[in-house]
Amino acid sequence: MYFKTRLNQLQHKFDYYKQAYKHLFRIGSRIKYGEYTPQDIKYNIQSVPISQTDNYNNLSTQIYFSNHYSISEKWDAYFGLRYEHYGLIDNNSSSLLKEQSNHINSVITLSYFINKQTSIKASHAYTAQNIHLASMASIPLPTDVWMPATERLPHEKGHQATIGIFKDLAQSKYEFGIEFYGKSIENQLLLNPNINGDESLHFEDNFFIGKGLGYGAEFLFKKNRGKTRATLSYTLGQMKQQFPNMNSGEWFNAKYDRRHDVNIVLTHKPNKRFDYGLVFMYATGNTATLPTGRYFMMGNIANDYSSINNYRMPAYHRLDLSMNYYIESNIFHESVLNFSIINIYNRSNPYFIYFETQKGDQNYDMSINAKQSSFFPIVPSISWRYKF
Amino acid sequence: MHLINKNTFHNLKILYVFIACNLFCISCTKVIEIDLPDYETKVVVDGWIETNQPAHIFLTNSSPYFSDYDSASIRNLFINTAKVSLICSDGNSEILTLFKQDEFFPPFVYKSVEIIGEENKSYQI
Repeated sequence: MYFKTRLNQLQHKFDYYKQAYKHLFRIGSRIKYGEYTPQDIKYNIQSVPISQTDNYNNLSTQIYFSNHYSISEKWDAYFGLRYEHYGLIDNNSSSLLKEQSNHINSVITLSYFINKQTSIKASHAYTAQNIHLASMASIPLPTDVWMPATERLPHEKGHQATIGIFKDLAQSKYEFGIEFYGKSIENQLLLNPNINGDESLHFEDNFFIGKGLGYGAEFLFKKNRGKTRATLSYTLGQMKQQFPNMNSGEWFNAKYDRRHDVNIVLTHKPNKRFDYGLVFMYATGNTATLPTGRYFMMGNIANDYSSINNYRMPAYHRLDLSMNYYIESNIFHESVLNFSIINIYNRSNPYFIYFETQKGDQNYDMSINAKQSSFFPIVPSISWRYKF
Repeated sequence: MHLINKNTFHNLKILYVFIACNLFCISCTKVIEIDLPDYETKVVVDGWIETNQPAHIFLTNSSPYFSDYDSASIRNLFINTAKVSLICSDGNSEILTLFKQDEFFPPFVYKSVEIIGEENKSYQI
């Protein structure tokens, strides 16, 4: 079996800024043309090769307006509106665009400065997105498919609200922030690849349409000056999905549901010749749908699934170290030797999991092993960078 | 001096890339242990009735995904002590008889002896 998915985009952008008194205005337009091939599939059924390719071309014309308004020393506001005209390009029809629709996006942010160091920020955004990222519902492959909006698969619409408190210490040497967010999304997609060879008139019928709900908190610490600098961030979150005819209509954790997400970046520059860097990341593993049982049906062995995304892949974590040595040189403007080790403790981070069936010599002998594929074991590298 | 440096480092880099590629290939895949949620065994009913043929019913237990099958363990999954009644919409009923038939998998099948499939009738078990 062979499965490919691809996309091309071409866009024209125009922006104009104007500052007047306490306002910073921005108006702009964007024309975006996209070519999508969400599915280019070839497979064999009883050694008869079957192939199917689905193409979508779309055109999105947008105009937008925003204003950053410094109301007073204490208050700051930002709002924006975006209008989109959207349609699919039909090469066979006399009218250029079909399945046309109009959409409005909006964003508003309010900041209040309690004092010079502390501020509170709240925001709301409404978005209508003309492209979907659809994970596969049935096959635990690490591939997702980009699918443009059509009449049957309307724009992905979402509300997102945040509220946070931010603190700046010692003239922005240190920054702290805590932010809470919540979002609800409509028209999320999951792809159910049609590999049974069923006749389906529309490729769009292979998608499930459902809802998403996410919420969480982000913590941020930054040290911006000095020999040692740091950025630490931690997000505690949850992302759930619901589809009418899946999982008995109950909410389940999305593929990219990430309970914990830690990022640490440290740099140390003791003098002009050396600097050292450390990057650590930790993220809860993706969820996957794995069978929990097996049974016999029509002389074959079939899988029994208990629920969607019932399995949590192992966590992704990695530590990278690097060192730069600046060589003094008369020939080069800059000459740097870089030593780095990626994934220093050789963690096998899961990319995907699959099953291997082994048959024995005897009748009925069979066992199943789970195997994990991963990329990037410990990778030491050395490089020399120079500028004339 | 710098030219020599450049070549040396270039070679080193090739060597490192080579080592990295090797490591990459060695550690691509590995067998892992997966903790799946506890699985509750269910009874699986599979069967058919066709025109002018007796009813065929297979009764088995499902098993956890990672159970190993061999001729002994697979036998435990076959349910050979059940009482299966077949009721026809014309009022006839029959208790099915267990046969061992090696051409089938599973090789044990509950079959009707008197009731033969007829068109436009419905059957219940």
